[in-house]
Amino acid sequence: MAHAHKIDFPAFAQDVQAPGKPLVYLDSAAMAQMPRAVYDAVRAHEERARANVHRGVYALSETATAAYERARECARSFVNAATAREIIFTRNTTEGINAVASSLGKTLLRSGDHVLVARAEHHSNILPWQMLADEQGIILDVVESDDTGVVSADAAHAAFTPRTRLVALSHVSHVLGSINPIAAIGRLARERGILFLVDAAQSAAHLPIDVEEIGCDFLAFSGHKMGGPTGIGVLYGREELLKEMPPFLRGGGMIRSVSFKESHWADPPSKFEAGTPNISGAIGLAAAMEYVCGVGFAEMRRVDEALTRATFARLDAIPGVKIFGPRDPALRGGVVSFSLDSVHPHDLATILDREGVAIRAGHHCAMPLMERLGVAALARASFWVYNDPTDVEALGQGIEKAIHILRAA
Amino acid sequence: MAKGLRKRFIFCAPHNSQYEIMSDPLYQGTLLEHYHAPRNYGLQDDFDAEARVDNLLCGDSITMRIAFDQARVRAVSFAHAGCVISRASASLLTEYIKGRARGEVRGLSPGVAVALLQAPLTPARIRCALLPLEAILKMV
Repeated sequence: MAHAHKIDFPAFAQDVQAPGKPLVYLDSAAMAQMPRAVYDAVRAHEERARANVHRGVYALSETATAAYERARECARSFVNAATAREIIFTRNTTEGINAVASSLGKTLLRSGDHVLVARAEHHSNILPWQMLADEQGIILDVVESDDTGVVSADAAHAAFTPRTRLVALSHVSHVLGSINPIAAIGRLARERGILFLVDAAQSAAHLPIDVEEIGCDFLAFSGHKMGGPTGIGVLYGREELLKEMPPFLRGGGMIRSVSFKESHWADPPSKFEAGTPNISGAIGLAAAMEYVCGVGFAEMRRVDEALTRATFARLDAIPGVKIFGPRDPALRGGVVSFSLDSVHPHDLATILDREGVAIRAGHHCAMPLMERLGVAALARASFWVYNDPTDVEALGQGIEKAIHILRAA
Repeated sequence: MAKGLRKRFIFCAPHNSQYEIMSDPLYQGTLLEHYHAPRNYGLQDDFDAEARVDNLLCGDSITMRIAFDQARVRAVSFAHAGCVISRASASLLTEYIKGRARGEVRGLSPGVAVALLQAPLTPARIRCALLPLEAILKMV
């Protein structure tokens, strides 16, 4: 049963707005709540094993290092990477994509090379490539999604040019909930010798990730969207590439030797982890991954589909609501964006907030997509394991209340 | 008139009952009145200056026109797309500046715009209240 999971999350023990109005959290696509198991793991680490990693020779440091590397192995297993050397801990998805763009921009990508992104991408998977266009003369091509928001393999294929060197695409759209056929696109990219980066920020907590099956060269996701702490994310990169790529940031911990004449880098993944990392974040992320695997992706899908279906039914009953993205809940990740006639998303979100319901309203860091959809802003409800049908009902009632208050008297 | 009627029919009820209060501490009174019946709404042809301000973050857009009589604001009109707060704020601010000297309007502080609304704005929504002020300040 879906709401059996809610008790795992301390955040739901509070009434945020008023007594009798429990937190109805429908913004997991921005940030997921943390299960108690993650708090406990982080706290235990900080209380008993807090020390810097890879640097000390005393017991506490070795314990911390072992825990950090255990977390790395956990992430390796989570995405089925061949080796833990392909797992780099970052701050979040944005940092992972920036690291790849910046590093490739220095070497493997040359002026006049093409990079392909989709119009519907999050700004974090557009701007780093636009940076290369601005600074290095890379040509940024844009592929459109179909009416349901999916970038088909055919569309991607048609958008490849003889000079396309990289394609960067999200797995699940954080606005439309559509699921891109990334394994098929990965195959196409591989055949053409085109590098493939997957933005898995929205999918990592909802769908199983297998980098070998996808055939991608890079994949990035965030810990805070899957019950992990903030400030931690994972960048997967194929080892052969990581060995060739220059570091993104330079500093302590990523070197073999340093002198003022010349410095030499450590091997991946250390090469890409300059400075003291978010150690407790990594430990927390590993605990979150264990939690997710404990729930299981079959259950994740069941929750997503059931709540998406329930949301469609509830919202379809309200005049003036328009839902975006695929109509088949089985073809969606757990995200439902919608508009409401005569009610601005920010006003809707404020009134919902009064009822303890948290949704997101705005451009969702996807202005090119908003422009294509012909809207300035949308409201978005997103689900995770702790949501249940009463949350959907609270959303529906809140929307009706907003209509009552705001539509012309 | 409408405000008085609303007050008469408000009564308390348990949460989630069908008699749930259909009102809101923010969306009521002055704010709602000026949203549903905004003053100076609809661009007039007689104007001396025009300014348009967009908040791309949320999609609010205000176009404002001012007609001056020497150094005073003679008439104001505006067009608007977007949220309740920015429209109500435009309505209140345009009323406020009518007849005032340019110098006085130039010195208008954000606090005045917020105070006119007589509504408890959260920090995230203050930006909405200030959008019409931004348009006005472009023209005086």
